Amino acid sequence: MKKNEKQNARKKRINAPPEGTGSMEGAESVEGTGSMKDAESVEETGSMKDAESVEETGSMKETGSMERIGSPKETGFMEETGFIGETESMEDTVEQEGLEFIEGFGNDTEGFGDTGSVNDYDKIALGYVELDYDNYVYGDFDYEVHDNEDYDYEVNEYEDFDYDDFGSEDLEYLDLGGKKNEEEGEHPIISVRDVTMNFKVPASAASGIKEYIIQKINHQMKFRELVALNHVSFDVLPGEVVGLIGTNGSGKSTLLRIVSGALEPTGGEVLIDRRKVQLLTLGTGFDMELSARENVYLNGSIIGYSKEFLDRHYNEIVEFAELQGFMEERVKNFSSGMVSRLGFAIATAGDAAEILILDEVLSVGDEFFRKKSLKRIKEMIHSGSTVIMVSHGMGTILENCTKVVWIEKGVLQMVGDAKTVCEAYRKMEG
Amino acid sequence: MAAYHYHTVGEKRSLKIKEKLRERRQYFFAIRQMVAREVKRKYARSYLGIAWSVLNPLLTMAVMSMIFSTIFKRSIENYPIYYLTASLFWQLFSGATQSAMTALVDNRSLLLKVKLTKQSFVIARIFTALTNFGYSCVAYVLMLFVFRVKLNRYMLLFPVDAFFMLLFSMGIGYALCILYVFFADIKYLYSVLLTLWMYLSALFYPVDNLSQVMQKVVNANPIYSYIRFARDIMLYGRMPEPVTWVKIIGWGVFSFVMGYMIFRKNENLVMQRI
Repeated sequence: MKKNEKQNARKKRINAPPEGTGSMEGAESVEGTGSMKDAESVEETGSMKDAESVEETGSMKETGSMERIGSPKETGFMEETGFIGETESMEDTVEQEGLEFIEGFGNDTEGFGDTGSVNDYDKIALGYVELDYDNYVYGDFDYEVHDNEDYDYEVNEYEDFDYDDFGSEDLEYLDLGGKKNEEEGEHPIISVRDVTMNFKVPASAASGIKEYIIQKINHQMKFRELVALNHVSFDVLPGEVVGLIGTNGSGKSTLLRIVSGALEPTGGEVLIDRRKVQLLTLGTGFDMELSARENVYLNGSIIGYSKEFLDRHYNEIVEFAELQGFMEERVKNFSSGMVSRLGFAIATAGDAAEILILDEVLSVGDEFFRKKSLKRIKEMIHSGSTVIMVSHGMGTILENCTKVVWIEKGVLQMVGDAKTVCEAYRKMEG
Repeated sequence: MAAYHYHTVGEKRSLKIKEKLRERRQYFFAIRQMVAREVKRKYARSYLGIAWSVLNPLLTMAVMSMIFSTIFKRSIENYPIYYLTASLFWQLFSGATQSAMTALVDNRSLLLKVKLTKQSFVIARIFTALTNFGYSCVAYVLMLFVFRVKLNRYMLLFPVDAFFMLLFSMGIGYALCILYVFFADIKYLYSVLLTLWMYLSALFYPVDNLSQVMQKVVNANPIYSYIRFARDIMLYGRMPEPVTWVKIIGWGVFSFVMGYMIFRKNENLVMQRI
């Protein structure tokens, strides 16, 4: 029964008209914002991206320990959340460890170079690989055939295959792979798909009207395109604790902001139930002129707690922050340690949400409080929440994360278990 | 920019009304907290605190009356109320727009970290101005009694006028806060513009004394319509002319819709620049 459903879903998905694909929307939005952007820079980005995605594929292959970037999508989830029929970027790859991995092809949005070609279905090739692995394992690959043939497509991995012949039997055939998958029944709770984030930074720091008008008249509005994230895709399964690593300015925080919904990506999409998300950051919205008690309510309300919730947990917060007797004081008289303790206590009050996003919260206060906060975070993590965290402490990542995503200069370098990725990261750092 | 498109469709489908209500309540709780913060903050270091909100308009009124009531003695009856009525609305407008202008930039660190919608910061600022307006109204009512203004049934229209004034201010506030992200200069430019605008709003002089051209200019000024409406109902105890009605509703709705559209359209662009 379930299998049937799944097959149907797959069919639906693949048969769905490509007009509504996520990547296409991405493309549109790029076009929309592109009004100020000159064609040159667009082209530039495009070609850069190409080169990188090729590189990416290469490096992924080498590492071998890659796990499931595109993971099996299952019907139940799709239906529940209403994704069906709306299609998604067609790059879920049913695969297992050891399967030869071709990713990055499907990673391209149709966006930059040729938006017109999105509808050309024949440009999308679907294929499968048959490997002698345990049982049959299949992976379906889909990628865009681009006009420039710079790609090394490794054609020998594809059985001969006919576009026209590709019908329903093939879909069933492909699905067998999913059945054998050991993680049957697990749907990604967060799916980052092909997310690209470009920031437009004015080349000259003109934030004045005079400069604006002068530049507008001279057509000198120059923007530097800052690619903070470049076609990043990965999935997070329920219960996973995912660490984001990368050197400073590599786009980790941007990614967190996109996942939490504070920022909308210029391309790609994030599939996530935003109501389940809780973003833990410290001291957001503290007002130094107000008392600690007032700040608990102010900060709590901004984070997203209700009044009843804060009433109920007020004592708990005070106790955890160890600020008994200080609550009527103005926060500006607090030491920075006290402020961050209060921030941490408010942020972690109550039960953990289903999806927790931790942005560098684990370096708070003195040694003693740090231990306490680490314990609290661990409790939250092990209460079954799905966690995405950014931390510079390799130790924290190694200790807590089941999966690590490594981003470097906006490009996804590696996704895998903590040990492997951290080792590779260290090697890179030297 | 429809990156979360799927999600919102799914969301709509699965969101129960109850949960939606809960979210709404939380949203207003957050806005209330932010308004309370702004109000508390404003007088945080003063002894009289919140009382200044009442005292301030009274003292300004006293000064203005002292200076101008002799000049306009013949043409304006009950000058203090004439001025106070207008200044109340002017303060609402200028306070709301000026504070809304910096709402996004002031909260830039929060914007990136919090799930709260961007416009809630603007709304909080506008409502702060409305709260101050409320306090000023206490002073106003007091003065109505002191100067023995006769009560009449048209006074009940006062909230209507205030509502459309607020709508008008909100629209301008929305547009300004977006502009301010891109051009910091707008802050200074706007304060100059406000001064000019105030003099064209006939706060403390009678319009009839002006030249024909200037009368036309003042009459075309949206804010003057709100002031005129208020004076009609409070001071003269008469129903405002239909033209005034059309003006206050039209300007209010127009400004709000335009401002809101500008805001929504540029919301994400702002996030990239902020």
